[in-house]
Amino acid sequence: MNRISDRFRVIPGALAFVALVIVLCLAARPVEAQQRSEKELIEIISSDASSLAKDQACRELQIVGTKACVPALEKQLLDQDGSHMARYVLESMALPEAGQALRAALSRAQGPAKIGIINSLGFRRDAQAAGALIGLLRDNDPKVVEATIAALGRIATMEAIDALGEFNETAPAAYTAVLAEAGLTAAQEFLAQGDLETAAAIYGVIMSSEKFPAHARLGAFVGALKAAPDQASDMIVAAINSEDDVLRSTVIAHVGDLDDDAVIARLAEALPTASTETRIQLITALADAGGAAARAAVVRSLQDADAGARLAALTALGTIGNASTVPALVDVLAKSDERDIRNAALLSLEVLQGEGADAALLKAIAEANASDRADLIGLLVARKSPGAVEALLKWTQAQDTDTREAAWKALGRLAQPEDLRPMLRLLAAMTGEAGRADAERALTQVSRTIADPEGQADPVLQAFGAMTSKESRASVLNILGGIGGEKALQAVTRVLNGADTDLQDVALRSLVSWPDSGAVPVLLEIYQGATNATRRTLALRGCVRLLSAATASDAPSMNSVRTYGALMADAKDAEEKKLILGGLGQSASLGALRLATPCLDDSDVRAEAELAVIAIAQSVAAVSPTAVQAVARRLAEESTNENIKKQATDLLATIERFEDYIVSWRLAGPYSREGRAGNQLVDESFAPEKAGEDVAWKILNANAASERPWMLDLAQALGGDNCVAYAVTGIYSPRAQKAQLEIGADDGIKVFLNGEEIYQNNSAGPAVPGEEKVALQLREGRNQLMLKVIQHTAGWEFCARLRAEDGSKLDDVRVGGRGMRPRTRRNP
Amino acid sequence: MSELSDKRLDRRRFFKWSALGAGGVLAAPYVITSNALGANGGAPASERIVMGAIGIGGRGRYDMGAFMENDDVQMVAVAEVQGPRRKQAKEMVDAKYGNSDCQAYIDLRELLARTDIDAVLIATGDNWHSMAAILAARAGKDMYCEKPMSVVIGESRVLSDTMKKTNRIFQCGTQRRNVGNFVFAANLARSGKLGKIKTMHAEKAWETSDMSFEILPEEPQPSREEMEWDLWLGPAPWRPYNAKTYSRGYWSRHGDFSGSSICEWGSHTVDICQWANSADDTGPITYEQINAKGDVECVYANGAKLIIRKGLRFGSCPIRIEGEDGWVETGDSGVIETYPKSLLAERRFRGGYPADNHIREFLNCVKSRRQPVSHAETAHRSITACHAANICVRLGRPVTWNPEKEEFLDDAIANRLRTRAYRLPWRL
Repeated sequence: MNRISDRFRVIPGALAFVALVIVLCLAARPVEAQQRSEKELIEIISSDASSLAKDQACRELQIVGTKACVPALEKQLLDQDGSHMARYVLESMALPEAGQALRAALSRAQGPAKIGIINSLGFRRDAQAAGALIGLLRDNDPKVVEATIAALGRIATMEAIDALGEFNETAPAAYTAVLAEAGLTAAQEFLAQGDLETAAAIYGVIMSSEKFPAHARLGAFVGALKAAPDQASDMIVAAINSEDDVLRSTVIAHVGDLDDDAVIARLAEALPTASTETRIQLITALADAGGAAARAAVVRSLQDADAGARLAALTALGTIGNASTVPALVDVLAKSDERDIRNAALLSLEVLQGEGADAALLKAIAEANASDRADLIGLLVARKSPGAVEALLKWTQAQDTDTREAAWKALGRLAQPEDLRPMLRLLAAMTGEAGRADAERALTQVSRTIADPEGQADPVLQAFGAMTSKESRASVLNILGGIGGEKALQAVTRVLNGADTDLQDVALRSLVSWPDSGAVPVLLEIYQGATNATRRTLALRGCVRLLSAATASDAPSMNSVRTYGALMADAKDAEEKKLILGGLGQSASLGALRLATPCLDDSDVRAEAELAVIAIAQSVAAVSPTAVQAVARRLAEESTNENIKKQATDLLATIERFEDYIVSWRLAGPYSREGRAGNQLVDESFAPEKAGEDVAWKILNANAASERPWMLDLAQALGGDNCVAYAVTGIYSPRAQKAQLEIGADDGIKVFLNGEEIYQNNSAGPAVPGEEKVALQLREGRNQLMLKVIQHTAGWEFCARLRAEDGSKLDDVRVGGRGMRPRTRRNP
Repeated sequence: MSELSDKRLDRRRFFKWSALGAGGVLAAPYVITSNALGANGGAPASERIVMGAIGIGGRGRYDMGAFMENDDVQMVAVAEVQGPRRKQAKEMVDAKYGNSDCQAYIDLRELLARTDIDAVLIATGDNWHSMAAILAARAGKDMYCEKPMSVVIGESRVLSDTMKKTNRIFQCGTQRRNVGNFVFAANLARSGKLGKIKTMHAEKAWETSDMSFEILPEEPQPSREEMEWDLWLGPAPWRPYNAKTYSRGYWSRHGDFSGSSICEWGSHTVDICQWANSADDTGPITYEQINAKGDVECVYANGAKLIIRKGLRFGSCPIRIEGEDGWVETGDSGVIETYPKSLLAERRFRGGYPADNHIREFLNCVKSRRQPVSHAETAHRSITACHAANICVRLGRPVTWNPEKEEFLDDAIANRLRTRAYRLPWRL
């Protein structure tokens, strides 16, 4: 429907163009900004203004209009072009005058305007219009009749329904669908108003006639379940015995909505004789419905002949089960070895709710077979069952090992710091080794829940003094080894320096497995001073383990390299050096490289040294290419291990290909905004651009296998479309100086130096190395360079090279990491 | 004549349009047969779901691809008013099945008239979501409908009522109800682990909540094959053809065609907050604009606050829920942060959490006839909260909402903005 030509007929000749300009200027302003008075707006809609001008006036009248504008709108209702926007206002107005205007216009309107008015009266559920609308059921225009049927369905008075009923008796087939729609709408309205009888009658009519569409009849059936609760159970039973999949599934899916005990009872009764598929559906539905009758029926289904139905019942009890169903579920465990069945029973026991459920579970565990008890105790942890600790303490003394082990395990998860005292008493009373490790683990776990890290060892330390047996005191040392911290360390160190040699060994082993690096100095001292070879080896292993763990958890500190240095300096034989090199190889630092390299000259440890050196070299190649080149050349030339030789050669080739490009970056992203293309994100500030925001940076590794290892592939590293990534690196400059950044990016890029945006190019396309040159003003000392790289079309990669201001090589800056000052080599 | 006897008389007259005798109104189930209720002569619904796709642009193609990944889906038709998109959609379906059987229609009504189609995917612009869904229900189809489900409150009210009365399976494209991290966050709140809910934050799509009502100048209209303009406008007020009008970046901020920033993401983020606050059948009762950017603070009857704003973390569509004992924040990046951190230890996706695939859940529901988690009433209530927030911003003053009656309290003007009269030939 193209109305524009009609609209401009009202404006003759050349005036049309001027009017169009005026109309469109008016139209472009937001409605609320115009704030024209109702009087002005009424004048516009009453004038010869264009349809678009009147449309906009109507939008404003929807907000500012009073009954004063209604007469003008009533007139506009009769205008085929303006009628819709007049309804736009009047349909939404609660004023009685609006309804009167629509009703008054109904008899005078023709064609589409009339149909629109009928729709609006229907939408408003205007009962006063019913009489006039009923007359229109005999209109010659089928579209008028169809709209009237729908409107009468919405109005849903008795008068309207009667008229529709009468019309239905002789209605042509063309109206069947809209009659069904109107009937369902009316019935829904009667149902909402509590007139179940009328709703049920309408539903009955629709269901009973095959002339109505199947989905309408199905909708009527479901509606009737609520409208005729006295017949609902008969209907449901009939439906679930039907061979019609859709009907059966539909009805069963609605069982959960029914709040009628009688219906549930009938279903429960029908359950055993229904088909297998129906039983499975019904069990789930009964669980949704809830209630005692449903629960009892589901519990009975635990004995169903069909395994699928039994499984459905077990699962359903997770929803509908309560304290009373716990014994039945535990009984299933007692009688079944099938994994699916046991898992379903355990899961339902884990999630079932209701008052007393935890108490019932505790009682059932106490009475359960020993073989099931451990599984059941595990549920207490998952449920965080209150009151379980007392029983668990008791079960740590059970006859069977599985129960004792499960009880200690559960205590480790459920017990609170205040429970440590009885747990420690049980530990003190233990004899022999059985269960001791479980108890130690549990005590460690609970101690570590103490909020103040400094106080975590206190309860155990307090108990230590009262422990008399050597086994118990040894246990405490093991527990302290799991807790860590300064107080525990002091206590363990005291034992280490004490007279009891047995306990000394335990204390040392506890230090070897210490959870924090606080034990390193003590272990180093033992290593350096021990006369006993075993103790020395244990101390060395502990040191290397703790240093490796520290390396893995955060950036290698100078301290760890220094400690490795001390260990190496004191190493007495090749075995010790090998152990140290094993740890050192995991350190990604130039210091580690310097420490490991001299071992290449020691033929006894040459193989281990090569492994360590190549591993360190690979991890620091991007940051310190010159140093790495030297050592890699040596390995490539001298190593007899072909594998090492190849790795060294590859590494050299990679460094050659860096060509002064920056390959040491940390990366964050991808960041995106739903509905926004990549190039629309250039000015969208994500976390890395905002001060104080948490950003998960990760190392971006150059692809050594690539011909262009300096071209950094974000699509591979991060993936994503229409998004951005941030890459950050440090630049250390010994002086303030000007420099040039040569970049190429696919697609757009933004450059930040020391937090300040200095360049952007939001164009899409492939990354061309050096295509863009950005002047940098480096300050003395540390600088931070951050790039924002945008993915908009096809690939996503970038490269960046730092040069002197004139484009020549820039020798006196160090790039990478956080831009720290390079460490100068000490004079030997 | 008493009121009661009057009613009885009417009832007797009403029975005149019944084919039944005096033998009981509801003997009907016995006459409903498989043929009547099955898939209109097609394959049984339990085996294969025959589908059509309506309104297939970029998002629609994504959805359609995801549907066709399921072996029990057979896509047979597309309806799209834009020629190039229609062609692209048909080619996509034909390429999937290695034939040229996919029928391409301009007018969705032709697709909906096909009796072999069980269910439809609706991925039109927002302006069409409600009407297309209601038409599909009237035609007896189940449907997956993209969000946001309406442009005004009145539309989605009729939509939800229609789904109930025709017993259709309706799933809204609020797929975060089936995404692990959002489900986890909502369940933390629902299970009480955050304590009493104090404040929820739902991200909107753009910095401001502005909404345009402008009309662009007329441009020469392309052929119907290329762009069926009147059909694209659908129930919205008429305006002359202009190509910019139907670019997504434009119409998604226009009040005739969408609910702009608040509805664009609020349909997801407010939806998760509603869920978290166990408010799926209700909504906030007061709405107040809190800054010049059109952020809105809403308050529920249970005292929980909902702030619709920008600035949360973790990718698109993020939410944050704060209770008296802890908080959770998550978004599309999948990252979840909680306080206390120990809440994360309980993160697991088994034992009662919904399936992890929204579309698969829809297909399962078509077969089981159970309603999906993003069913019509929940989506209607969520988008109603978004519309109410928009009305508050548009009127520049606080508004109070009665969720039971679904009307603003003593506020005739705000109540007018709940609805929009549909342009012919469309009717709610």
